[in-house]
Amino acid sequence: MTGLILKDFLGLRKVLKSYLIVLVIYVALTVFGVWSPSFTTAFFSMMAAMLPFTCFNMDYTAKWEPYGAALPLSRNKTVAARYCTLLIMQGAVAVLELATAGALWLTGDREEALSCLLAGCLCLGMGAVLNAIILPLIYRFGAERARIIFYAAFLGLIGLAVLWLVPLGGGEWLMSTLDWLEDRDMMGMLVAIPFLFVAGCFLLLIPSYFISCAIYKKKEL
Amino acid sequence: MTNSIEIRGLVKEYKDFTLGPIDLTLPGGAILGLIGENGAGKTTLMRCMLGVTVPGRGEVFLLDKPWEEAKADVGVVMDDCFFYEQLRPKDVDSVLRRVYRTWDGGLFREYLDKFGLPEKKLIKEFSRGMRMKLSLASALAHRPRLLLLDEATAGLDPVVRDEILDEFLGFVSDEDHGILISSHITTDLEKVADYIAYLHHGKIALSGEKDRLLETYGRLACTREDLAAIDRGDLVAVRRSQYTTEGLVRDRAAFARKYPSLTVEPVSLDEIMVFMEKGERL
Repeated sequence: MTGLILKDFLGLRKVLKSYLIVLVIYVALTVFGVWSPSFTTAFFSMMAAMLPFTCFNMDYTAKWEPYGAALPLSRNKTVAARYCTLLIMQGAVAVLELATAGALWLTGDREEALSCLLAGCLCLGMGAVLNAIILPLIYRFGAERARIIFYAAFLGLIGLAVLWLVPLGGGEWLMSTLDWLEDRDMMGMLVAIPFLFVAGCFLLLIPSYFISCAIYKKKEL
Repeated sequence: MTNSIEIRGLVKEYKDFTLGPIDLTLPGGAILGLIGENGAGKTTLMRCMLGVTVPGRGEVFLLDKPWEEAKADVGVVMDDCFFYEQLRPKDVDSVLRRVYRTWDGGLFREYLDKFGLPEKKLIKEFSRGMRMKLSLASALAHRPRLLLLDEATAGLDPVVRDEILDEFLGFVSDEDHGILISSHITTDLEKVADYIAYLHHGKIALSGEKDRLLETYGRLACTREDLAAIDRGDLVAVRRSQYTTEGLVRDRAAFARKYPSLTVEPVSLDEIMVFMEKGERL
């Protein structure tokens, strides 16, 4: 399985190098105050979340799948390797976010540090949810069709969220909940929410993995 | 001696095509050439043998083991190089040494040298011949006992093909080794194969020892009147055109004894395929 993970990273070598250059530029722009650190970390979270797409496209272009299935590895391990690739990428981004927030905290900009952490958690979590949904779709329909299905579903979810927040009164419910917490001096609990959110999002990858395995096991390559 | 391949009653059904039932055996130390027209099911058969395609029914044993247990001892070359173009041969070494327990990096580099493949050059800069050689080096470097080669020599020039065919002959000099090679280039198979299986519309229409097939089958050229006088059971297939009538004879010697006035010539695998595909089967 480590061979397949290495294959992904070797294939992504050029992409990762270009990301590194972009990162240096963004960090410089952040230091000079053009962008906020939150924007930079959030941007890289989303970039990392999209990399599995690139891996599947590389497989498709090279027609790797039939050859991969002929290797002495079970199909479950092949799927697990792709999920591990994703987790390593997300982990690297989490380290970047923590390092940025830590640096901001040490320099005394605690508000920006928290903002950076919050944005990072949100994007990491969204990246995990995105992949938890899309990886089984890719195994079922292929990268290109899955991308279209995903965007349609994503827009649908945003539509539902907007519908809930405005006409259905979800926004009012949120505000009243915040007031309720403030009245009882429990606002400190909110600090845990981003971390719980990230953990919850990443837990979604577990059922996603099993669904992908079930799909890939029966797939004609 | 182990059988390299043993397939029993393999069937794979699609909406518009059915492969099988296929029964096929390849003894160790031999090369089986799989021939057949495009779409006959050669690649599907190979994929079923490796679990790339899930077979509907039947059993596949490779090296006397169920195929799932034998994959580590099987080297595979398909009709293209499946490694990412942005990799180099040394990357392929790094990846596959983590996949095959028996991977021999030294042997892989020996093959790279032998085939003239630069270790650090990007695969996208390789010619088709170089890519196929890289696939072959990768298939051989984990010291497999069985090679499954799907159109591995297609698109290669005669010099490269000759080199690769020599490699195959060297591989099967060990009685424990076997090769299944599917190819449209029947002259290659005439050179190296010990056995031939001809797949036609998903079924094995003809199989046996290559030398025996080429010794016994023959091509009859005759007139329409001559053809009318021949028992239908003495011919496998007939091709008629405006000017010629030809028949595929199953037993050349017996035919010559029975019809001494008619001339039967040796036939190539190509000609047998054309008769089976385009001729009128009797």
